[in-house]
Amino acid sequence: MNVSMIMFNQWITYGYYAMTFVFALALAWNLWKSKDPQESILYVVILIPFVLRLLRLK
Amino acid sequence: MFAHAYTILAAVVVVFLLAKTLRLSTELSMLASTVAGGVWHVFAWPGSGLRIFVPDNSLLRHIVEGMFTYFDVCLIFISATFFMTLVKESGGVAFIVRRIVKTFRTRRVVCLLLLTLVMLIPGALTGSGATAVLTVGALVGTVLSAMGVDDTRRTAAIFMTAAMSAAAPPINLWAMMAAAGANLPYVGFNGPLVVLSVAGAVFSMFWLAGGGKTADEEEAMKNLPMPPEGINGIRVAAPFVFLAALLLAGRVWPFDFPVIGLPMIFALSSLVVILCSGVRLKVWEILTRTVRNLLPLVGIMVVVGALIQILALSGVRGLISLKVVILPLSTLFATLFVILPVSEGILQYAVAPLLGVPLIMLFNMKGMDAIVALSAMSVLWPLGDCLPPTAVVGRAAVMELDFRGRYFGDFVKACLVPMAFVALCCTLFLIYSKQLSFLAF
Amino acid sequence: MDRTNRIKLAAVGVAVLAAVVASVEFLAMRNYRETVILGPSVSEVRKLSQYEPSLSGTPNDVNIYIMDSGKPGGTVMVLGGTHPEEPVGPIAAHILVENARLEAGRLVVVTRANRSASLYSRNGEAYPNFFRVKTDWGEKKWRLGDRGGSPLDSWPDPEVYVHWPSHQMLAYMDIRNLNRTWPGRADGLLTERTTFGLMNFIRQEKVDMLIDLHEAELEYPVENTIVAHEKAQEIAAMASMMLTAQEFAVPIGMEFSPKALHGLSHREVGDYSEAMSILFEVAEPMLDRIRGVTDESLLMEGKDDFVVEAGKHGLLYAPMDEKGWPIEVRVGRHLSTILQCIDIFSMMTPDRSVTVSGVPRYAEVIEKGPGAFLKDPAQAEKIAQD
Repeated sequence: MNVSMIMFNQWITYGYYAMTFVFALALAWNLWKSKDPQESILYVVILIPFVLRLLRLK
Repeated sequence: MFAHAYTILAAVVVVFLLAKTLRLSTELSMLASTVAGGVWHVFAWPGSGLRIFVPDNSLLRHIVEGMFTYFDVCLIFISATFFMTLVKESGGVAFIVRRIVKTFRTRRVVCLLLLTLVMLIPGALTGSGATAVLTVGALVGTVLSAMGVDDTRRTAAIFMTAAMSAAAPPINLWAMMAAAGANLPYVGFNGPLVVLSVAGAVFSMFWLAGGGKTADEEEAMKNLPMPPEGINGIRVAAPFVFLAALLLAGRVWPFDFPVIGLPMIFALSSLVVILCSGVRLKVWEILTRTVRNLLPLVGIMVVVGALIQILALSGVRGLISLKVVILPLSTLFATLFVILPVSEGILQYAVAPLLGVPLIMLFNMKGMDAIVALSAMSVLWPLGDCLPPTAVVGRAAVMELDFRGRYFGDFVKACLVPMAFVALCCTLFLIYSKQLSFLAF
Repeated sequence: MDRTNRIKLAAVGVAVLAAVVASVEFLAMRNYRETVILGPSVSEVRKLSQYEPSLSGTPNDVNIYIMDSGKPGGTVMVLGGTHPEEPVGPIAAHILVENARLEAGRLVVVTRANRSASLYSRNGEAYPNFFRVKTDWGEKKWRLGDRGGSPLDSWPDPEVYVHWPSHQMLAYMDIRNLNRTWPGRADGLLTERTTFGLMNFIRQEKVDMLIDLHEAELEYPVENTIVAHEKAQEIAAMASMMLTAQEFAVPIGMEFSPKALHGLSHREVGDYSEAMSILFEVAEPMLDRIRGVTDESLLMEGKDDFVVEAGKHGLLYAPMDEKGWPIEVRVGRHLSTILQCIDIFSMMTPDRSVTVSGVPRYAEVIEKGPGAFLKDPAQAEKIAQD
C-alpha cells in the first residue's frame, strides 16, 4: 500500500511536468503566431518559469 | 534606508507611468519598472554586493526567481479556464441556459437566481471574472435581453456578477495570494466569501435586471446558440460531478487518496468534458485560444512576482508595509472601499501581496479576525476590474455583450449602486470581523 | 525579417540570457554541499533512510550525527534546519557536532532536518542564496533556503493540506513545511515521510528530549521563547528563569505548546513518542515583512531601520534598537538554551543524564563570534557533507 501511494504521487508529479509542457507548447505556439510585438514579449516572459520548471532548474 | 526605499519607489512609479504613456501594456510597463527599480537598487546600494549579470549574487536571479512566485496559481488559472472553455465549446453552457429559460421563464425571480448561479460558477472555480464573462457572459446576457433588460443594465449586471464570481470561493486569487504572503493558511475563507459574493451578485442581478417583462421564450431561444444534438443533462453534469468528486475525495479520504492538486483536477475534468462532449472539440485550438485570452492575466501574475521580489530586495515592500501598518484603523475602514478597487484597477492582482499582506498583519495585531477581514478585502478588489488603466473584466463585458453606450457615463454609472452595496457589506465585515468570525469555519 | 519577428528574437535572446544567469545560481545552490567536521565525540553518521527507506535517493535522506559517550545515560536530539531561512539552527548544529564532548549519554544532531528546503530559495522574498560566517581560516558557507521543501522534490501541493492524524486543515504549502507535518506518514509526500522517519528514529533510539531550533520575525508573538510540550514544561520553565536571570540581556520566555495546533514538533513529538519536545525561538529581523533592504548583512547582523521604526510604534514582540539582533547573539542564545535544558534534564532524571562539554555558551559566542567554534575542513580528519 505504502509503495503504491508513493508511486501514485510520483506519477502525478510526472503528470504535472507533462501539463507544464503542454501549456508551454501552447504559449510557444501563440508566440510563433503572434503579430503583436508587445504580446510577443509577454509570451516570452511567461515562458521563462515554464521552461525552467520543465528543465528542473527552479 | 528610508531615503533609498523612497527613491526606488519613485523610480518604479515614474518608469511605470512613463511606459504607460509610451503605450506599453500594463504588464510590460510593470516589467520595465521592475527592471528599472532593480538596476537603480544595484547601483545605489553597493553594500549588498549585488551585480546585474554576474551569476553569484545577481539582479537577474531575483527577477527570474520572482517570476515563479505565482507559478502554481498560473497553472490553476490556465487549467480551470481551459476546463470552462471546453464546457462552453461542447455546448454545455448553452444547454444549461436554454433549460433555465424553458423551465423558469414565467418565474422571473427563480430565473434570475439561476442565471446568477450560472454566472458565479466559472469565476468561483477559476478566480477570474474575465473567465466568467468569456464563458457564460454572452449567453446570460442574451437571456437578460429577452427578459427586457436594456443594454446598459445587462452589461452592468454581467460585469457585477462576474466580479462577484471572481471573489466567490473556492478560488479567490486575491485571498490566496495575500494569505500565502502572510503565512496565513487559505482555510476558512469559504464562509465569509460565499456570504459576501453571493449577496453582492444577487443584489446586483436584481437591482439591475429585476424589473422588466417576462422572458420572451421565442426571442431568447432564437438568439441562444443551439446545443449540439445528443447532448443531455448527464453529459453536461458529468464533468462537474467528476470535478466535485475529486475535490471532495481529497478532503474526505485525504490519507487514502493521492495528492492531485487543483491544476490536475481541472485537467482531468477537462478530459471528462472531451469524452462526454457530443461534438468533436478542437482541443488544441481551444487551448491556444484559452492561453491567448489569459495572456494579460497570466502575464500580470508572472510580472507581479518579479516586481514584488525587487520591491522586497530594495526595501520598498517593507516601506509600504510599514506605512500601512502604522495607519489608524478608523482611517482604513473609511478609505479601503475606495483604495482597494482603485489600486486593483492600476495593479491588478499585484495589490493582494502588496497591500493585502501588511493589512493582514495589522488586523492580526489589532485583534481582528484576519480571515473575515481578508475575505472582505478580497470581495472589494474585483470591483476595481472595471476601472482604468486595466479594466480587464469591464472591457471584457463590454466587448462580449457588444455594448455600444458610453463606458463611464452609462456602464460604470449603472454599476455604482450595486458597487456601493458591496462596499458597504465589505466595510461592515471589516469593522465587525471579530463578531463575524463564526463564518470562518 | 519583419519588425515583429526581430522583436521576438531579441526578446527570446534577453530571456535566455536572464534564464541562464539565474539558472547558474539556482544550480549552484542546489549542488552546493555543506561540510561538517566530525568532532571528538561523533561516533557514527547514520542516514535517515535507515528509519524510513522511501527516503533513500531523495534530498531528505539526511545525515544524523550521533555523539555517544559510551557511558550509560539518556539521549537528547537537536534539530537544525527545520526552516532553512532561519540560519541559527544549522550554525548552532554545526558548532555542536564539531565541538561537543559527550561525558555521559548521547547527543544526536541533525543539521539539515529538511534538506530539500535548503536547496531552493524562497520565491518573492529576495533572500540571499547563501550566508557565510567568518572564521580564522576563512569563511564557512551555508545555503539559505525556503521555509518549505523544494517543489522540485515535492510537487504538486494538495488543494488543502489535511494533517495526519488530526485531520486539521492547513494551508496547501504547509505540506512541505517540516514543522507542520509531524508525526509524519509513511505513504505521504516527501516532508511527511521525513518527519515519519525522524519519529521512527526518536522512538527506536529512545530519545528523551527533542530540541527544535527556530527563529521568528519580531512581529510574531511567539518570540524569544521556549515552547514546550506538557512533558517538558518544568525543564522549559526552569531554563527560562535561569537563563534570564544569569545570562541573557533580553529575557527568554516559556510557553505551552497549544493542544489544538497540529503538525508542530513541540506538540506531536511529545504526543506520539516517549520524548519530551521543546522548540526555541529567537528574533530574526530579516523574517519581518516590514524589513528594509534584504541582503546577507541584514540576515547576519540583524540591523534594520524599518524594524526599529515599527518597534517605536509598539508593533513588535521583541526589543529592537540600532544594535539589532546579530548572529552571535542569536547563536549564543540557542547554544546556552540547549545546554541549560540538557543540564536541567540530567538533574531531574539522573539515570538518563546527558553530560556535554566543549560547547560555548552565550557570553563566549558573543565575545569570540560563532566562527571561532567552526573548524577548518583542511585540518579535519573526518568530515561529512549535507
